[in-house]
Amino acid sequence: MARTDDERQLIEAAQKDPRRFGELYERNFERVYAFVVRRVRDRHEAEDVTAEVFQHALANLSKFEWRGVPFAVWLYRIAANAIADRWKKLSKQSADPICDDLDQSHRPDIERRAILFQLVDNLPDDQRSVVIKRFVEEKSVREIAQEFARSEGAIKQLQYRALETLRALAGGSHE
Amino acid sequence: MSKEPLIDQLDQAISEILADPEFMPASVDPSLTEMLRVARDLRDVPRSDFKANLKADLERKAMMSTTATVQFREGFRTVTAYLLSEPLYVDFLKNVFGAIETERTETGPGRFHAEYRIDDSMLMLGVGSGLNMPTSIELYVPNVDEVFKRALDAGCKELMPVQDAHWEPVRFGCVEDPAGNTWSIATQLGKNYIPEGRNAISAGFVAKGAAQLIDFMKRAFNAQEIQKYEWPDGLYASIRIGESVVGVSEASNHEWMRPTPSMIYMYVEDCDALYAQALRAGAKSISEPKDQFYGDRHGAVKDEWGNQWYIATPIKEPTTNKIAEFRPNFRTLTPYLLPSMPEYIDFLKNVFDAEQTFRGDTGPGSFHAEFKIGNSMVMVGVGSSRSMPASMIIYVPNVDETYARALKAGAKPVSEIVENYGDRFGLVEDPAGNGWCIATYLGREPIVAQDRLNTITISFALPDAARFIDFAKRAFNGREIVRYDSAEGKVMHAKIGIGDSALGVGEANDRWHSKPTMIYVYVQDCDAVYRQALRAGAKSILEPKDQPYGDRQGGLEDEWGNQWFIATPFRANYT
Repeated sequence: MARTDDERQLIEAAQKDPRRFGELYERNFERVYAFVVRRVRDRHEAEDVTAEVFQHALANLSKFEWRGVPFAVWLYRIAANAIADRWKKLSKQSADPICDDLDQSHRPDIERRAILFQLVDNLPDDQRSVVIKRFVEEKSVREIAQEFARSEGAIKQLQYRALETLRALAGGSHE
Repeated sequence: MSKEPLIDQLDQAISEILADPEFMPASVDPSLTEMLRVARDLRDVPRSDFKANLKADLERKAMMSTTATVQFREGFRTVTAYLLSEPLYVDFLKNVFGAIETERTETGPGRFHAEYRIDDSMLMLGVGSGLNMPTSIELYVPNVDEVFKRALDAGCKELMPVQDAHWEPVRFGCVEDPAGNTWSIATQLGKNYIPEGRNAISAGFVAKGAAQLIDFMKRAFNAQEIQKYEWPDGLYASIRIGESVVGVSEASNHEWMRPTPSMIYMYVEDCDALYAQALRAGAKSISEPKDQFYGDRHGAVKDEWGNQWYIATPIKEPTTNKIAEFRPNFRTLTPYLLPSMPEYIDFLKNVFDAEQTFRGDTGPGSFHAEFKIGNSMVMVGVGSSRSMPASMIIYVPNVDETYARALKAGAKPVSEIVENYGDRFGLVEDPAGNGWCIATYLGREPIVAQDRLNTITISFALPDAARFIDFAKRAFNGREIVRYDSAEGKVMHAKIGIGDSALGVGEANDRWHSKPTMIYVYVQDCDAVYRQALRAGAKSILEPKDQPYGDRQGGLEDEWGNQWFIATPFRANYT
C-alpha cells in the first residue's frame, strides 16, 4: 500500500514537473524492457521499443489518471501498442497479437526478470563485466579471457560465481 | 551425469543456450539447473549504457518540455518575498537563517539584487535602493528556540516570545529584524517541522480587511483558501497561489500584527495575462509588462492594501529547439581539441571507440572533424598552429580496459587507477597533450549529477577557481551541482551545470595546472549568451555571425585564457 501511495506521489510530482520523470523511469525501466524484449526480434528492436515507450509516457504523462493500477501497467499497454504497430507496419500480422500478454498472469514473469536485470547491475564489477560480455555481447570465455588478460579458468570461475549469486538473490522469485 | 568440473559444465551449457534458446541440457549436474534458468533470462539483460543513455535523453526532453519558469529559475516557486535592505543585512540572513546566496546582480553604484536560498525556499533582496518596505515573513525551522535566540543575538527585537500555539501543534515566536521586517518563526511539533503543503518560507500579509485582501487574491491571482482561523476581530488564513502558500492575517493593535504591505515577486506562465487579470480585480499598474535585461519579462501592480506584486515570466526559449533539430548529437558543452597531427583521430577511435560523424577540410592539410563518444561529442581541429590541450573526464564501461588501450595507443600515465568518490578512475595524457580522467562509475549510489550522465565532461584546474565559478554562473547561467571548498576557502572540487552539460572545476596547484581550453557551446540564442558573457567579464574574439558551416557563432576569451565559441545552428547540413 505504501508503495502504491509512493508511486502515486511520484506520478503527480512528474506531472507537475516532468524533470521528476527520472524516478518513474528508474523504477520501471527493467520491467518495460523485460516485457518488450521477449516480444520482439532482437535487442536492437527491444531498445527501440523501450525508448519509444518511455518517450510516449513522458509526452503523455499529463493524460495519465491514477486509478490505483500500477504505473507499469500503463507502460505495458503503451509497449503492447508500440509492438502491435510495428507488426502491422511489417504486415506480419494484422490483428493485435499481444493483448493476451497484458493478462495479469504474465506479470510475475516480468517482475522476476526485471528483478534479475537489476541484480546484474549490483554484481561486483568483475562478475558484472563477465556477464555483460558473455550474455549481452555474446563473447566466448576465451575472448573475454583475452580481453581481460586473465585465464579462461578465472573467467569461468567469475561466470559461475555471478550466476550463483544471481540464483541465490533472485532465488525465491525464480521458481 | 558429466564428470567435468562444474564451472566447465556450466560454461558448456551456457554456450549451447546462447546458440539455441530452446536448448535444455540433459546431463548437467542438478546443482546447475537453477543457474541455467537464470542464464536463459540473462540473454535478455539490457545493455547498461542503453539504460543510462535513454535516461539522459528523457531528461533532456523533460527539460525542454518544462516551462521556462522551472528551467531558468531553479528553486523558485510562484511567490517569493522581496526584501529591501542595506548591505549588512546580507550577513544577518546568512548568520541567523543560514541563507545561501545563489545570485547577485549589480544594479547600480552600491546597489544590487540578490537571491538567497533558505532551506527549501528562496528570498529576493534589493540592496541599496534607499527604499524601505518592511514586510512579514513566516519561516519554519527545525528548532524555533535556537533560531529565535540567534535572531535576538543578531539584533532582532522580540515581538512575541516563543510559545506553543493552542490551536495547532506548532511552537512559534515573533521578531522584528534590523531592517524592520517581521519574522514569525515556527516549528511544527512532531515528525516534520514544516507542515504538509507548506514550505520553509511563506510570504505573510497583515492587512486591515484581510477577508477582502483574500478575495482580491482569488480574483487577481486565482488564489485558493486552504485553511482559515477566525476569532472576534481576527483572522488568519493560509492561501495557495500557484505552487506557493502565503499567510494572511487581520491587522490588530499588537505590535506584530500591524499592517505590513509586502513586495512580492511572482513567477507565472503568462505574466501579461495575469497582469491584466490583476488590473481587472482592482489593482493599479506600477509598470506594464516588458522584457527585462536579466531574463524575465515582468509587469507590476499595487493592490489597495499597498502590496506590490511583480508578475514575471522568464523570457522563454525560442519555440523551435534549433540544437535538437540541427545538431541532435550535441550537448551544451563540447571540448574542441587541437592536435597537431592527423593520426590523433585514430587515438580517439581506438581508445574510446569514437565514431566520426563529420569531417570537412578547412585548408591545405587541415580539417575539422566531429566524433561521437558515448552520449557526448568531441570536436577536433587538425592542422592548427595553436595548442590548447583540454582536460576531460570520460566515463567508460570498463576503466581498466580503456586505460590499458590508452597507454597502448601512446598516452602517458599520469596517475594509476584508484577507487574513490564512487568511481574507479585513472589519469592519462594523450599524445596531443590532452588530459583524460578515465572513469567507471561503480554503481553503488543513484546517478544524480549531470556529469555522470554524460560520457565526457570538461574539467578545469584554475587559479582563483571560486571566481571562475562565479564567472560561469554569470556568463552561462551555471549552477553548482556539487562544491567542496577547503578550510581556506579554495575550491577543492566542484561540478558546475551548464545547460545539459557540466564542468569540473578545481583550484590549480603544483600538481594540477591551469590549461586554457577551447570549448564549443551550443545555445538557443548565441547573441544573447555572447552578450551575457561579455557582461560577465569575457573579452570578444569573434562577434556573432553566420558561418558557412551552418552555425551562427561568436567567440569569447575569459580571463583564464579559455576560449568559448558560442553557437546556434541555423541549418542541418554543413556546406
